[in-house]
Amino acid sequence: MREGTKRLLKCDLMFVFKDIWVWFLVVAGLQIWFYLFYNTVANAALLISFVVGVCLLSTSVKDWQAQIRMYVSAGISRKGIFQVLLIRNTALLLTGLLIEAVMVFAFYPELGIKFLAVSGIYMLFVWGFGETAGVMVYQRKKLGMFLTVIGYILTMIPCSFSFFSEGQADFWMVLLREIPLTAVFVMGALAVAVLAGSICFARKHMGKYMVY
Amino acid sequence: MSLELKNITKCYGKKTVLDDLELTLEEGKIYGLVGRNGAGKTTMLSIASAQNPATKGEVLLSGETIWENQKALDQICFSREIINEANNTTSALKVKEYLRMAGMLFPYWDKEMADRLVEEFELDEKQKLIKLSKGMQSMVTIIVALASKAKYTFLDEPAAGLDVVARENFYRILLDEYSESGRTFVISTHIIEEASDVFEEVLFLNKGKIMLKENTEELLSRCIHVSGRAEDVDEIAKGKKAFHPEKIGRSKGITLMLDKGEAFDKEGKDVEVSPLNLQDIFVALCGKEEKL
Amino acid sequence: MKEILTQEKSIYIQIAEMIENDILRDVILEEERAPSTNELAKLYVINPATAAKGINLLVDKGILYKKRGVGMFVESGAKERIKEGRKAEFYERFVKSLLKEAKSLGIGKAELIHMIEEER
Repeated sequence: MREGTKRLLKCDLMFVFKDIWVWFLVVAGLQIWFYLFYNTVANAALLISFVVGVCLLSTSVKDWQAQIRMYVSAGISRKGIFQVLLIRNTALLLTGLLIEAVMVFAFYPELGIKFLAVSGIYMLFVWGFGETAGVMVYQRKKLGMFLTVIGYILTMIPCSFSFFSEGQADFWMVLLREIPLTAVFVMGALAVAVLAGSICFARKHMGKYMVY
Repeated sequence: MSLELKNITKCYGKKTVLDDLELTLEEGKIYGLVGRNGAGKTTMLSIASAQNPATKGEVLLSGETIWENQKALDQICFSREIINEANNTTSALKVKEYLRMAGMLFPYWDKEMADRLVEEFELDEKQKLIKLSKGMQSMVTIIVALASKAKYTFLDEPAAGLDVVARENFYRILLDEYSESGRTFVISTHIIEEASDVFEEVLFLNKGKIMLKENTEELLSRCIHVSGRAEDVDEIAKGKKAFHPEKIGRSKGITLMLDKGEAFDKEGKDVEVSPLNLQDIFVALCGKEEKL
Repeated sequence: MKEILTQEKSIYIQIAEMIENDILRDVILEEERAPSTNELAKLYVINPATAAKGINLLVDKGILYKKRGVGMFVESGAKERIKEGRKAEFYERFVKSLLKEAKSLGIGKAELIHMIEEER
């Protein structure tokens, strides 16, 4: 990795950790609240999925709102910035999946791979969605902000379901058991296509990024 | 090593801001960039630091394009205004965090210098950027520019929000750093007069082009104001570059720009000759054009 | 040192004149170190290149000389040289214009000398 890219990655991770920490606290707070008032414990693996998803969404949008501007102003090449953003999001996604894998195999070994696959697909979707919304926010299109809000709502749905269900009888667990493998594959292909499309879209705009 | 802007054209939509601009910035000088509002100063600086793409033309550092060239970009710092528009992520940062971030991003960052300047400007490091006054925000921009230690450093209106004392302080610190390091600075400003002694060369940006690039001292020595009876003044102005005529009754005043090395001769006419300051020259050259 | 710079004259000429003034008033003595370019630049908040130009002017006039690695020094006999230069300038700037003004007002030479003698 080039020296400039390394410098940027270090700085960027500092910012992202702050974001992850905030979302982690939000989720932890919610969990405590639900436990105290409704005596329900949300599915931890799903919560991780949610934290990673919402972080991917918020950082992707924020990248285009502020971070890229800051990095370009500091004299980092656009290519370098793009690389770092990709590396960071991929790392975030993989770390999330890894932690999740530990929990899934501990609590729902029979769902194992299927659980992780669906969770991964969900994250890819959110990332792609966030990237596209972010570029549109940068372009000052109204649609950008609209997509961002929709993105947050969609990201929160799987999480909220898990708060209101109880352990094994979880809505998502049932759904996961029932869902056929072909459907997972189709969804996976779709998610990859969405992400690939939005990354190409983002790269095109990154190539001529302008600090206003 | 020199930074060259070659045939730079920049259009925002249908509006042409920079029009086939040519400029070479030699190493080790302090340049003053002067131009009217909307003349394209910020645009020029942001293109010269690859923060914005040019519509046409290219920027070269020692013959290499700076666009997407990390090695060249490391040598250039354009410290921009921190707060503009909806940039809420940056403005929520504290001074300390902002400087730490700059320290991570600029390869030649001088932390000691940044700390010293924070103290000198009496900035509160724990304060959030958004809560700072305009002048204090300028100070943070200045600190980033100076401590970046980049060979080519650009500052856009650094003096604008500063009070007189802080301004004088800024120029002093700038000169100190300049004489120690020999870095190249380009500083745009509206407050021409007090800065003119600091600039080794001035750049007048007008209508999207560099209208004039000259050693400040030389420019001042070859621009004069001549006034007297209209016929006499017209006679003297014949064949010379004349600007900004003003006429009251029979008398007339005019700004003359002599050729380099040309000595002024009254030609025996009874006219008043007075020197001009940089601001007068700028107004004469870039002010509204009047027919002679 | 530290007079206020004006816009009337080139800065480097003013810098040279101020150093001359200091030598005339014995603020800087002969064979003593004169202020450096950077010191002048910082003191007056001017570009070092301009300050250097002022110093070079004095070097050309034989008032300052450079000691390698140490800095600029005042030549011996500099004070006398400055005085001579200033006298010539005094004649050019004041006496000549005095005479010109006197002439346009119709004041004769005898009257002028009388005026000077009256002035105490």
